[in-house]
Amino acid sequence: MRKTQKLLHMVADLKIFSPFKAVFETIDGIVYGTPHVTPGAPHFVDHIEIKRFMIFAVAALVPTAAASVYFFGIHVLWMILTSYIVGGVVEVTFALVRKREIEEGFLVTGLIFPLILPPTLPLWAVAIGSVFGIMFGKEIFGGTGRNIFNPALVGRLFITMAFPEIMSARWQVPLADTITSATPLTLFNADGTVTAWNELLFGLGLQTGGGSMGEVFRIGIIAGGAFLILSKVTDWKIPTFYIGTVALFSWILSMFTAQVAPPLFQILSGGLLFGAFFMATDPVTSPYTRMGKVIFGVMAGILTVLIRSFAGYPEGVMFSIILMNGMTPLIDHMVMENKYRKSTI
Amino acid sequence: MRIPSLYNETINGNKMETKKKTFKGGFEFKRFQGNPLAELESIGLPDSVMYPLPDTAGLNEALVSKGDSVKAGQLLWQNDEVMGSPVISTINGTVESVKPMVWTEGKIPVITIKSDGTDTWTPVKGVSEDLSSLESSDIEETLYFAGVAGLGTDGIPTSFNTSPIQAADVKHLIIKHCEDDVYNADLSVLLAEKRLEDFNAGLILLKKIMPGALCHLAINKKNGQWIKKLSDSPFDEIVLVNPKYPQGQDEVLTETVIGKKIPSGCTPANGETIVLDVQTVLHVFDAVKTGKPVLDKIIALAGPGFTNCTHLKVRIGTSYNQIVKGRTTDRENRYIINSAMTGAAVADMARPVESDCNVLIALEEGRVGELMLWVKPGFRKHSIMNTMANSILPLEKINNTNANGEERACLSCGNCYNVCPSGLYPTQLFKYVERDKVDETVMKYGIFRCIDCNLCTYVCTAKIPLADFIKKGKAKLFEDGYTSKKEILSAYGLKDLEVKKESE
Repeated sequence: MRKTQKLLHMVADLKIFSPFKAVFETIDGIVYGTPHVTPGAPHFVDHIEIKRFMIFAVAALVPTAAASVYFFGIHVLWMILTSYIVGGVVEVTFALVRKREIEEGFLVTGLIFPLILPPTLPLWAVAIGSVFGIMFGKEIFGGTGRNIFNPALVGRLFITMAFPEIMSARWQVPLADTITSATPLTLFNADGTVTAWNELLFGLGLQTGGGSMGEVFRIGIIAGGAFLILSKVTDWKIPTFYIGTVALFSWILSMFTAQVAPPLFQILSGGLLFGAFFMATDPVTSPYTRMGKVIFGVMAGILTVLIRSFAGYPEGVMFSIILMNGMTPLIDHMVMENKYRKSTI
Repeated sequence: MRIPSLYNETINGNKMETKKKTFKGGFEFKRFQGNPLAELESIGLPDSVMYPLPDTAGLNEALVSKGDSVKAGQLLWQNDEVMGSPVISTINGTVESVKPMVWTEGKIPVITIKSDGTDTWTPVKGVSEDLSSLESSDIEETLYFAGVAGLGTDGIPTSFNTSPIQAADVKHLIIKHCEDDVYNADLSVLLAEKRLEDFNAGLILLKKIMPGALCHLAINKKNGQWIKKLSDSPFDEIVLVNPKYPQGQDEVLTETVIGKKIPSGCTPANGETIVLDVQTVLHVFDAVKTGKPVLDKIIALAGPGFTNCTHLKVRIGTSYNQIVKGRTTDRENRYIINSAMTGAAVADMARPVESDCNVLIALEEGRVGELMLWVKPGFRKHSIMNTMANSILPLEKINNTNANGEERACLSCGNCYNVCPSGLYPTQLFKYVERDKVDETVMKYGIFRCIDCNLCTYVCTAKIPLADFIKKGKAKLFEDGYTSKKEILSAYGLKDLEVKKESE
């Protein structure tokens, strides 16, 4: 053990700091790494751990976050900071009250949450959404690993319902002077305008009113998602089957009704790419079985197309993922029962 | 019962079948620091040796007593009532003591012999120069008195009580050299100096004992040099396996090679199979041809704790202290027998090497965590996650015994069931055992298919000791009377060897 680490342990052992044990443990874990050794076989273990796992997801989100700051200004940075600070305080408070270790899950949730919000949202709304999302999306279920719904989506859903007027507020087109009114999806639902794919892909000159700021820079999202899949942090099945189903299902439906947008436009508009790569793949709230992952992706894809085309809300990704989150335990249970239906021992 | 799919591909349809086979899951350990070099050293005669007797043996069962002079090859303990092989002296000298000592299994009798410095041995009786004229009963007797018959998981079946299975019942004989573990012995050391011919002759002797058995060789498919050299050996089938862990474990190997699933607590013998390694075949040849009992073993020294990783020829009974003396770094090391994944750590370095030791691993105790480890790219870290392309970088990977992180709640990230060789969901079984809901449901979810390879604990992101929980669950199921070994065997279509013995 290092000398400075010993000093930290001595301070942490003081009686006045005893309620803050989890905080010291977290600092210890972040800076020094664990001084523990494996108790027996296996005598050495993989270098992957939750902090490393989470920091990879954060790294994959950096292009998207940086592009949001570039497109929409410094206010975005304050939103991210607000989300991290408020979310962190909630997380730490719960850990201290429960006398448990601080879970690293909020490293990702704290960054994803502002990225699925409109860029002009006032900071107090970000704070409220963050508190609600982490408390009612995660902590009341028992913390990281036990939550049913994606906490970031729960927060976003709450402020969509609670403050509809600020969520639909209008703001500037990125890097342009005009004030916009609608997202590409709202435009399509209104008069059937299909925005060109290259505009969608690079996110320039785009309207995103009512949408979220993280969905604009699509090249960055694809790069981040590919990075996560290649580094084996997420599984390829959910994004592939989710996006594939949206393309196939919308292609079939668009042959029968003009209410459904064509496949390429479906993929590159709205929050589909962001949702498929960063939200649907959340390991806690998506199925753990291989077949379950496929079912999850396909059903979320069908729901997305249906909600986008025929429901009042043009953005179907958020609702479809949160609905599928609720169905995840059932999907896993059915896959397990089917796999072991003949097995007794 | 679900059998994972096997990928078969015939390479050439000549006189012998060469097939590629593998299993689903598993994990390949590549480029680890401290792999043993292809060199062989001898450490000479030890000053004194120790032989622990089986824990069933009584103190007065020893055939020698204090002060007796013994020759290498002389029997020290023998009991045909209990399954196993006799204990043989490996040096010439005098018996220093026969007394009970505290061992891993409790207090057991231990014989200590002081060497007289001579390097001779007494040949086993019944040796013949002409191998082809030997009767199988002669071979069996020689193997028994040379101490060879006790090597391997199930031993070699002879007319003596050395294996749970009868020689005539063996349908498959698998010789393995899978190189699937983190550290492996090098085949070119084991079969150096024209030992290949001896190996082939030993194989023919084994086939004579087990006439009904098909002979398979399971070899690492990347070991092209030796696949070529061994293709003329008298095998019925050569199986090229992926060197991914735990291919070399008997249970997985049996399933891969002959398609029989061996569940937890059972051995290949239940599936009418005997699995042996290359060194055992050489011991068989030595015993029958020259009458040499099992005196020494080639042990690979591996791991970053050794300054010079090599192969050593060691007399059985030599203490670990004597083996590692002058070969280790001055840091605190942990010594592990055979496998860093499943092997036991050496509890006391004064204890002797036993005949089942093939690899001795020295890992540094990682009691100091690395600063800000979690944000550094893992160029020299071996991981299931391709941290910044580390899996394709040709750098030697560092490893020590550091726990590499704190235990957290399970995220269901999926690493454990992606690597599980039995196709289980370790995280689900863990959740049942953790909440103490150990009943038919976990049995239904295949807890007895788990073969204790510990790979789930190795890859766990949340650093949960999954394998330990599964072990606990299995023990509890037996304890609470939910099932018995008999039921497991019949459910998997395997042979209950104990029943047969009673009826005879």
